Amino acid sequence: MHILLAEDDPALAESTARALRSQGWVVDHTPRGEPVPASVKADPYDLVILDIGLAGIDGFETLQRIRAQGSTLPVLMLTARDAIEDRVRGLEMGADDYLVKPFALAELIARVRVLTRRHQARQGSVLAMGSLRMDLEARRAWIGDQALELSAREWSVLEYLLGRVGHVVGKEQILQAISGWDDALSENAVEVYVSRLRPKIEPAGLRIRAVRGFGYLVEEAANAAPAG
Amino acid sequence: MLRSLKATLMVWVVLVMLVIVPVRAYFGLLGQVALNDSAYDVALGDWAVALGNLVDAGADGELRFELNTQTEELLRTTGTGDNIYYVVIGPRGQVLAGDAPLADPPMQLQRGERRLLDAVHQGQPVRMAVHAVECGRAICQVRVAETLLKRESTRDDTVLLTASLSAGGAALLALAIWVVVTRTMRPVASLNAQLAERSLDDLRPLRRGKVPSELQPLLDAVDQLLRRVAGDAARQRHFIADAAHQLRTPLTALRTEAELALLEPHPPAVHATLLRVHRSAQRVARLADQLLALARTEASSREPGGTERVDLKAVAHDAAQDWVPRALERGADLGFQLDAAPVRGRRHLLGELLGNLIHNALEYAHEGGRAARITVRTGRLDDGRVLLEVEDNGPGIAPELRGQVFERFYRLPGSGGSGSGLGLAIVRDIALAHGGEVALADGEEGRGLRVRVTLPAA
Repeated sequence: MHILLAEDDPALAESTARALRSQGWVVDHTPRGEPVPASVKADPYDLVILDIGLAGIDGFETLQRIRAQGSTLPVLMLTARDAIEDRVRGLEMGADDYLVKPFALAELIARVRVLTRRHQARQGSVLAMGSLRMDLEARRAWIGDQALELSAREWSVLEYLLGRVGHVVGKEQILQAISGWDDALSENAVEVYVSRLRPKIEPAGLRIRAVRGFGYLVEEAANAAPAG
Repeated sequence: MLRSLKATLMVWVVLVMLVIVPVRAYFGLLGQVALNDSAYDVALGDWAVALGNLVDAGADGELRFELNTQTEELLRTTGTGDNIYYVVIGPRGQVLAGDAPLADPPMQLQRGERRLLDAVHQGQPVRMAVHAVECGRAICQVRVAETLLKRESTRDDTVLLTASLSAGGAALLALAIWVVVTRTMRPVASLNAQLAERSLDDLRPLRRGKVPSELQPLLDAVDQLLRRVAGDAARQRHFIADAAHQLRTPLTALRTEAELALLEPHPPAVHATLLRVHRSAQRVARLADQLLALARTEASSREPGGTERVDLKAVAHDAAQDWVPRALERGADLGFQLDAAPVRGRRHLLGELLGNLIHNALEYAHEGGRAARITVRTGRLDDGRVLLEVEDNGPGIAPELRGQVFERFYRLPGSGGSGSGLGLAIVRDIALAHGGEVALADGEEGRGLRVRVTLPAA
């Protein structure tokens, strides 16, 4: 994977780059925002990590220029300022995620994984995670080479969850997304479909964690912390 | 010392009136009484002159005085209960007619002279007119005296009238001054109400209305102060944002370096050191975050505007995105019971509040020795307020310590974790800035801790 890191603090840039490289990823670093849009156009990066507080044009401006040239490349913003104010502004401008300094390395790496996976999963009409692939056009799913049988509603729930990897998804949201063709569904129904999905996707190394009173979060089992 | 301008004014007006009104009434009374007395004196003198005309010196030189019954009746009838006496005295002092005792004492008067004086007749005080009239070649005296009943009753009437007029006038004047003062002070009262109704973060200039010109400099000074406070708050907020940026970036580098060093191969001898460096970096980072949060709460609650309608349910949704992965990573069960809870406030501060509560719960629930179970609740209360509650099953806080944990940098005795002792202080500051309050209670089944924030509903 190829990552462009725009961070003007030399010490932080150095350690962040080292951490990302330790995952086997290729990292290019620039201390300024100006060259980023051109670099993104010229080279096939998988992700841009963009500090908001860059000297010269700042992270917001850089992001705007990237989006202005029509790129849908995932962008992870780093902010050292008031998290929520920057988050709202960044997300409105088309950032995919944000991370507040000081962050833990593990968190940075997890976010990078989620973002790139989500981006790849949206490539074309195929959603993929673990060894699971969902072909949205053909409405067929596989775990490895094995075809996976899903009911229409199970399909809708799984599609919705995989489309929002890395986010905690509320039951209400899932319900709204799948109840277009059947208004009589309840949140209990969502629980039923999720409980049916769990054993089916477990062989793909995926697990659906329940968040009490809220909804669900999809994780790769290998990536997930042991429970308890 | 009276604080109220109105009361001070009224007290002084009344004091001055208490002095002026009686003095003025007294002198007015003196004048009126003298006027009345002189009118009675003129009438009495007229009688003396009239009686004098009745003294007749005949050709024989004999003096005669004749008063017919009709005239005497006229003289004696007063209609006021007064007695009238008279005496006619010849040139040698002999009494020609009338009441003899009135001839004492003898007086020497020039021809045509008239004199008025106070005398005593039959043990009664009387007013007496003495008139010297020509009788032949000599001078006779006519004396007319009357008792003082009508003079005294007139004097009493005058006193009563003057006193009532003065008292009534004073009362009317006091009322008029009260009304005028009250009307004049009305703009001050409306300014007071305006200031009292103001929320703490409203730093706009005051509405003036019809304010007396004497108050304008005061209002200008208040407006200027408000502008300066607003400016300071904005400057402080920017400074804090800059400070946050300057602090957080190197702290991130420090933390990342420590984590990298732990991940990469390193001599076993430095492992413990690296762990300590990492832990310290984490603690300093959190401390910096929380100090900035405290300062930010202070600054932005003084800065005008910036509040919006916020549903605490949405704040909890945002918090879920941040905290559920961290809770899962630690094996904690972070759950939610969310109902609509609209408030008016600053969303990022409310997020900060909830973040601190969840962080605390995660930090301390582990010490309970069980799998941590944390529940976030939002909703409306029966009394119209809304609630934001975080409950954990950790060790809880002993009731006698609950008052102290809101103090900045207070840490529970024997508590581990990387707490700074600022989390609950931040929670309280933000709750207060939103007109709310924070209460601590036992969790369900008497275990753990339940932090309940109640806020006014929007």
